[in-house]
Amino acid sequence: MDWRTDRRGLLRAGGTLFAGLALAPKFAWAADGKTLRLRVSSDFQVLDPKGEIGELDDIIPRCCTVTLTRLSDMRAGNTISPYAAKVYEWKDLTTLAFTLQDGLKWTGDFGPVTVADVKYSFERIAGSDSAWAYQFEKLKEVEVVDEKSGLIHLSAPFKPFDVVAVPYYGGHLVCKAATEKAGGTFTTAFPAQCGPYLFDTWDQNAKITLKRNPDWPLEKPQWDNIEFYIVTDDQAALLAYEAHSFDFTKVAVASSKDLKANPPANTAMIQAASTRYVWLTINMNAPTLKDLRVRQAIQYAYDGDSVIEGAYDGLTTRATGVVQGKFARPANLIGKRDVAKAKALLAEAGVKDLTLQLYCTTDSVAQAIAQIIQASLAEAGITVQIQPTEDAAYWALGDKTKGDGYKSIELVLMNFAGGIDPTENLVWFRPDQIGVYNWSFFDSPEYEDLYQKSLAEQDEAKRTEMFHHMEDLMEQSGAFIFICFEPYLAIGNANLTPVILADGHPDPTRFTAT
Amino acid sequence: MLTYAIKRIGLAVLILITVMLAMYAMVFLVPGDPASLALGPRATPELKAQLIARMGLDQPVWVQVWRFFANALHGNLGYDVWSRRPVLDQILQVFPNTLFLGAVALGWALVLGVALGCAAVVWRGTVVDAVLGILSVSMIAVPPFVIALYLLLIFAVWLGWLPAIGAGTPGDWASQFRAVLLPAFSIGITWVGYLARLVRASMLEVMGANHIRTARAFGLSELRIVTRYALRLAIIPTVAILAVGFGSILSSAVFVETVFSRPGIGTLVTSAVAKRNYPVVMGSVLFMTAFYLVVVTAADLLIARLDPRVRDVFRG
Repeated sequence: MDWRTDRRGLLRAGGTLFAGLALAPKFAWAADGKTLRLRVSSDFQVLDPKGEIGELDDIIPRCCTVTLTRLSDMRAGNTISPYAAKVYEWKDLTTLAFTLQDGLKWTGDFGPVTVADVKYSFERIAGSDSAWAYQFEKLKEVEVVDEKSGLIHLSAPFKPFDVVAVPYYGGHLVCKAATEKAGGTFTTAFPAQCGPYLFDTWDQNAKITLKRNPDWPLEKPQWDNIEFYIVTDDQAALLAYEAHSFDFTKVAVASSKDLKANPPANTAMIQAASTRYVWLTINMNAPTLKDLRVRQAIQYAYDGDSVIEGAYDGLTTRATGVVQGKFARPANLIGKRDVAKAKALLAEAGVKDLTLQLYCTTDSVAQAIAQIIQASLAEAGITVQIQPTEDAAYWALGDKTKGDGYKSIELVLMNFAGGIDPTENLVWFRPDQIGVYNWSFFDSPEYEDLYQKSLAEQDEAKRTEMFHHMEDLMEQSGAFIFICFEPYLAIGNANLTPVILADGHPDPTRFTAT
Repeated sequence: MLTYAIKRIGLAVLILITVMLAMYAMVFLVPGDPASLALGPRATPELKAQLIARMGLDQPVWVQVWRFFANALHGNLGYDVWSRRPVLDQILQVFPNTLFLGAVALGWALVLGVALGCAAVVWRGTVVDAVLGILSVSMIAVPPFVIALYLLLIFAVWLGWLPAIGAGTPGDWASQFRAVLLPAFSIGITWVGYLARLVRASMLEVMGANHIRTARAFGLSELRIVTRYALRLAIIPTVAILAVGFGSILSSAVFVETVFSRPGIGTLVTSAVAKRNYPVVMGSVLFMTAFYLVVVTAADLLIARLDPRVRDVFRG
């Protein structure tokens, strides 16, 4: 053979090689139609509803246990419907009656799911040190009427109980006998399961497999198996999705433009407003910000449109408060940017050469928002110095147990995972949260009064009015700029119909495919 | 030899203690509250206090350090603050994946690096030598994560030949081997360049030795001289550096395991750091450092046994 290493020969050989590679048969990695493959960002830690933290900690119990009711997809308004309870109805303002479905039973010979299990599941969290104890704050007791019927008694009317406590997280049922046998709590292994799926295998930090529960008595889910693939990095997850490693994944907002311009084959994009809300805290107690006119100057100088475009690629809209959906306030009181007004307010307050410190986390979206705020406030003559802060130090900024620093922090870009009921989001701005999570020093007795009334009020229109007024009070204090609800972005196989709950995590039991 | 061994092992223990003290210092120097960060805004003060206690952060530093080492000597690296699982169990579950990745990466780097080094010597001074020189330096210069991403794009996304994530199915060697190829290639490629340059340099020294000249005088082919006589001597510095290389490859595993979402000690540590799961971080760092020191110390002792000059230098 006459082998020549000239340029033409090299190009010819390279071309032939790559053509061969491209035409070669590919290995099949796609789903077999019976297995649903989802990407999650981290491994689970605690499956016990009392100690679970989030994401997979709650997604797995959604599959392997039950709740009395369950939520609809967040895009369908987070409505509730009966699930493990075939009857679920309010008898009066503090009494909820329920009857369990027939045929639900625990694995491991622990017998049927009973009201005693419901009582045990709820009462062990109420008043405990669990992070979910607040959900059951108003729970007085669960009364056992018989094996299948029970009454939930509240200590006071508490409208949000339906959506805050029952349908997920602390609302997952555990088997009383099995949990007590396991010592009263468990972490990475269910003592007993009763859901449509059973925990099968766990490859730590890599993959979890669930298999269909053959004894599941209710509507059969579509999939024989569910696989969760743990991929921490969003960009790596996107590549892995394109390599057909799984069928559905949440993706970073920064990927949206590329995905829209060049979507992977047979892929649908899901775009929605998440419950995660973002706002700018303006500390009323900081010496530089004690004058309301200075705080209002910041509100007028803030360029909301630029933040939405620059930091979120226009995927969301300016928030009018910390409450979204049907309870959302129609508009901000300061709806339009007015730099001249901001300058006038500063002059009126006699403030010149104002320099403020803006704390934010180190992620790229927070950095982008901070820079836009810096630029927009500069137009009004306010110098903003950005202080990107590592997470642990960031969360200590407004914490009164960490010294007196919380009294004088000036501006903080904040971002909380919200709930479904407005009170879940409004709770952080109560007076007793000053030095905890109310970093604005917003101290309004009227707000507190409205908050308490809204917990008990049953009329939706009246509640809505209360929430709007509470957000008016927040804005009028000059201590807040409502930025947005972060966009939720995911991609999945175009044939797949996903169900995403309000926390932004999927409910795989209800995923379907055509 | 015994004196040398005792001194070398003592040094390793000292390094281990220093690393762990540095780790403890970092935990205390980082400002902020790990419990609030880990638990989120809905955590009760009681729960935060419990978590702090579970991490042992409520104790004075010296107590923490003492307890950690005392427990470690009994094989107890502590418990995961969330799952309460023993840290050692978690490490032993994923470490074989990292070890396999390191072995394959170093294995292919050794084979190819030595081959390229030999080729450069055989054809020294020619275009082949120049091309191999450029190639070797390029391999050293290109960051492994860039290689990793491109490999992922080409072989997993575009061609679909190899899996993009994971370590393969447990018990299925073929699937595990397919899963290790891309990450092993990514972190091994830098060492191909290093080894090629090292073998070339040391072999050029050996090529001037008397026995090589004698071999030439007998009319042996250049290829035979290089592979049969020169390589035996030239490979010694390479073997010495392999232990260091293995440590470096284990460090690189941290990001490669993240890019390929491959379970291993790297992903274990990074997820533990993100969740402020300090016992897992401490236990994993101690385990990795100890493992690395065992490999390096064993290599040093082996070299000292083979080469008395090393022992003499250490003896002073």
